Amino acid sequence: MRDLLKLVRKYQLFLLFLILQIISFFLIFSYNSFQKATFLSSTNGIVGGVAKKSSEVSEFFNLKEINQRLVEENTRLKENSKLSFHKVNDDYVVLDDSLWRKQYRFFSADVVQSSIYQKNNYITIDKGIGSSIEPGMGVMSSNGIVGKVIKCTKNFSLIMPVIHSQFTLNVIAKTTGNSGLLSWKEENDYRYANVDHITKDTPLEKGDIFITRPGSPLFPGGIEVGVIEEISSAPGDNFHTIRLLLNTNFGKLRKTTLVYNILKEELDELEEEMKNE
Amino acid sequence: MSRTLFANIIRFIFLVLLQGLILFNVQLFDGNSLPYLYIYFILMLPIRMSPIVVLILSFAMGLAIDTFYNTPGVHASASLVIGFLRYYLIRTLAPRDSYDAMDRPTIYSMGLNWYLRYAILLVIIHHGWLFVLDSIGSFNLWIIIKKTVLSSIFTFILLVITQYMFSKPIRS
Repeated sequence: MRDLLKLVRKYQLFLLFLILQIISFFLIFSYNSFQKATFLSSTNGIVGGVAKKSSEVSEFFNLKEINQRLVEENTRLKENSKLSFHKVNDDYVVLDDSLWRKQYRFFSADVVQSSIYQKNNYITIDKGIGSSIEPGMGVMSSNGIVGKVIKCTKNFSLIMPVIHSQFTLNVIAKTTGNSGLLSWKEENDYRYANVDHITKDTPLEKGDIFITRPGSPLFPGGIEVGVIEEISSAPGDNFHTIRLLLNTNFGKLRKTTLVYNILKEELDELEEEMKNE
Repeated sequence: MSRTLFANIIRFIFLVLLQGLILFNVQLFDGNSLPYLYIYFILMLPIRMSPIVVLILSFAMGLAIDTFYNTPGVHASASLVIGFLRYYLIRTLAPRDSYDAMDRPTIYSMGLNWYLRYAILLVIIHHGWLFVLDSIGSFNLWIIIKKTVLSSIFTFILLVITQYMFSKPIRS
């Protein structure tokens, strides 16, 4: 026994190193439980609070640009609103009838902290459970999509953006309607993403637009995701290799819009049933 | 002693905020060169500090950075590696007549030659280990080497600048 104690004493430095190193590796590899543990992420009260103060200062210097983008978005929305259409024929009257049911609710939130040069980037926003934000909600920017909410605390939420190696989303080509899978696995650049599973015979070219799929649980359909920057296909491969220039500029992201799909529960139930069968 | 303690607490807080809020957004060469100046805290711990304490403080520093970076365990692991190896490196680099009680791990105290070997080795080991961990799931040796070299240069330049800015040249 005394010899054992002696041995432990002799190698105490190495043993402590080993124990702490094992804890670190446990944290690294329990990635999925990390989504539940909040104290070790930027959504915890202290880190989130500090980051928020800091972003408030830098936001002040960017007010002009933020305003500019809001005006642009407003203009775009006005163009689509009822006001900008005039009646073609007096025989038809538009009523707010029961044919249209509200499917989405929107919330706005400020970006507190965001990374763009990591392999797995994250965005922290300044709203959480206290503002009825919950994991699984979609996140949009003023002109594109951002990602989805994966973790919430009382006042902050963590977003997994498109520029995260585990993010995937179904998107469709605006012109042809073919659907593909958006991901960021092979990219190292926050401006671009990839679209897979588009067969070679699809007539797409540089400049074509990809939009969100209608009926996706995260986003309303038809939101522009990005524009094809490069399209090629390796010989012997049945699919196009598509590089997409993302609409959202993650480097300058400061305001986000969160999407709550009122029908999401129904969708989830249906998918659950399909899985069980 | 209490002055050293105070200085280290201030340095810890300052470096966590600097790294988590400002250097977090800094990069060169399309994100291939990222500065990790926070290890300055580990490098600056007193030479004669107990290696056990150094190890625990390195772990704490790593975890603090991990919360800002949302990378649980990655920075903690890399910090531990240099916190551990620092003890042996300091012993290996010891001058012939061993260290004075007043010696600090700085350029002014130990000379440029000593400091270059000390800092460059620890920076490269830290960054190398960091990018190896970062590449789990998509291992690519070329990217690891590229990032390690470019980031080490960036961090090292910042280290030397910080050293000249905050370290007093007069030995007291």
